[in-house]
Amino acid sequence: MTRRILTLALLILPTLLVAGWALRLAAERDSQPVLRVAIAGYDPRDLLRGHYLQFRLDLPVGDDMACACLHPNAADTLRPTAVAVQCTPPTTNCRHPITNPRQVYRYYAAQERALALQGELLGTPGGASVLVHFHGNGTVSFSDVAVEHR
Amino acid sequence: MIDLHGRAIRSRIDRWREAGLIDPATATRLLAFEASGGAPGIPVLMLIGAFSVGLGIVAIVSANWDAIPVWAKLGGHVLLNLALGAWGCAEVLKGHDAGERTREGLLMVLSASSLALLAHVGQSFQLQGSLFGLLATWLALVTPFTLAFARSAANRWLWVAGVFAMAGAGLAEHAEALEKAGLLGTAIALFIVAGYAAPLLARGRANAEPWGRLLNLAMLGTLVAMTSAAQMGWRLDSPLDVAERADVLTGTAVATLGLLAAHLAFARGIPERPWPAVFVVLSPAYAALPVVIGGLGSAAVAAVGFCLYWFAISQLAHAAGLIPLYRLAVVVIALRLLLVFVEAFGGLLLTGVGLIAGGAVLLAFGFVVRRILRRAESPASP
Repeated sequence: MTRRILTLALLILPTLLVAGWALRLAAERDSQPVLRVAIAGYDPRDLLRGHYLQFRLDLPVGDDMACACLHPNAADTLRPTAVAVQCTPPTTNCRHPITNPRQVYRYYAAQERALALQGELLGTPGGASVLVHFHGNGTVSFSDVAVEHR
Repeated sequence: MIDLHGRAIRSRIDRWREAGLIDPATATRLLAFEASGGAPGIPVLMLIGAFSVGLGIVAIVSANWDAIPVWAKLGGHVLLNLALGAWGCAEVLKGHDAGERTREGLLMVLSASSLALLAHVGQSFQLQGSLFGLLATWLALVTPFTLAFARSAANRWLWVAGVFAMAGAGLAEHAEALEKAGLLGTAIALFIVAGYAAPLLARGRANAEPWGRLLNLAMLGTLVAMTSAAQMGWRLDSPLDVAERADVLTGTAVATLGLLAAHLAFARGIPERPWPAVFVVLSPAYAALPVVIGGLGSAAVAAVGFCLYWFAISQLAHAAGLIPLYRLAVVVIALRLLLVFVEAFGGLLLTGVGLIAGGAVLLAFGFVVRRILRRAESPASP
């Protein structure tokens, strides 16, 4: 009986852990603070790795800023202001902390969506933006890339 | 249905009997055995049918992949993994003698599907995790059941490949920081030593010993590949800066001492035949030699350095009776020499005389390699 339970646990538990992680990500996403931020340097498709945008956040940060706290900017809503903060310990009084804000990010898009984005970006001078979800520990995730029609 | 498979078998058995390779009684037994195997056309048709159905399902799902909601896709993937896990559990509980292929196949598919599920979640939530994080999480999930239940070489090699890919991704991710700290060489050395010494940790545990041997073998292969590749350093005419040299030399010292300690622990003292151990322990220093001397900007020295290393491998393999490794060493040396010829006289290959000369060199190489290999494999050879 013990062997049966142990075998089942070893083979089933990994999947249940990943499923639980996915559920937790979904539950946390609704309560995470978000900011819409302009993006730059997009590359809608990559034949080797599938369809994704490759971009940097268009933020006023220098290359030497390892960690930043972003604040909404009324003058330019898509370009929040950034203040350098200590990476460790994590800043607790910052609502939108981000580690290594100059890094290149990826946004995976369905094939049709990527092609549509490519078409829109080619014909629109306004650029694009993405909704950034702040996890509170410096890491971020994304949703909803949009083309800005100016 | 025309039994083409049966006809071919019968014809082959008849030929063997007529040539005197098998006696009539054996031929009769073989024919009876083959006849008892049932009509081979039916399983083949079933296989083609099942493959066709599977292909159709994959085609429909992939054509509508973008239209399927994220939760349906993730939920389907989770259910698939759970089903694979439950089936695998049933196969494992049957015991290791029953259904080995099914069990090993299921473990491999579950392992691969777990990696795909992690990537699937990452893509669905647009997480920005690293390749190292993905592989480390995957190994944390699949290592317990792989070590506990997998017995086939394919599953074991898949796991070892995962460990190497994770280590490579980790090194690549932290290479800049490690290099700044002067610890890149040491990190690589510690990885090599840890993998090479794996059999020591596995010693005395029947289940762990094959894994230890596999890691040891994989790490030995890595060491040989790295040392061989390092001989390209002789071609560099610009020496490394002081910090880089210090990093390489520290890593070399750590690797040498670590491998020496591992060998002393393996043999619990000085072994009777010390040359394989000497070869392994000195490999890191041989790899670092171009850096220590400073590179000579010489393609010829690089080729000699490479060939001498593989000549040592060939001699050790011959002494140990490892003929496949000996063959490999001879072929590798021949290919390296051929590369030297192409590098030196590549331009000539565009002319008629050059083609003749190149072809003659190729023929000579082939002849010499064949002679060497035949002599090594003959019973009279030492």
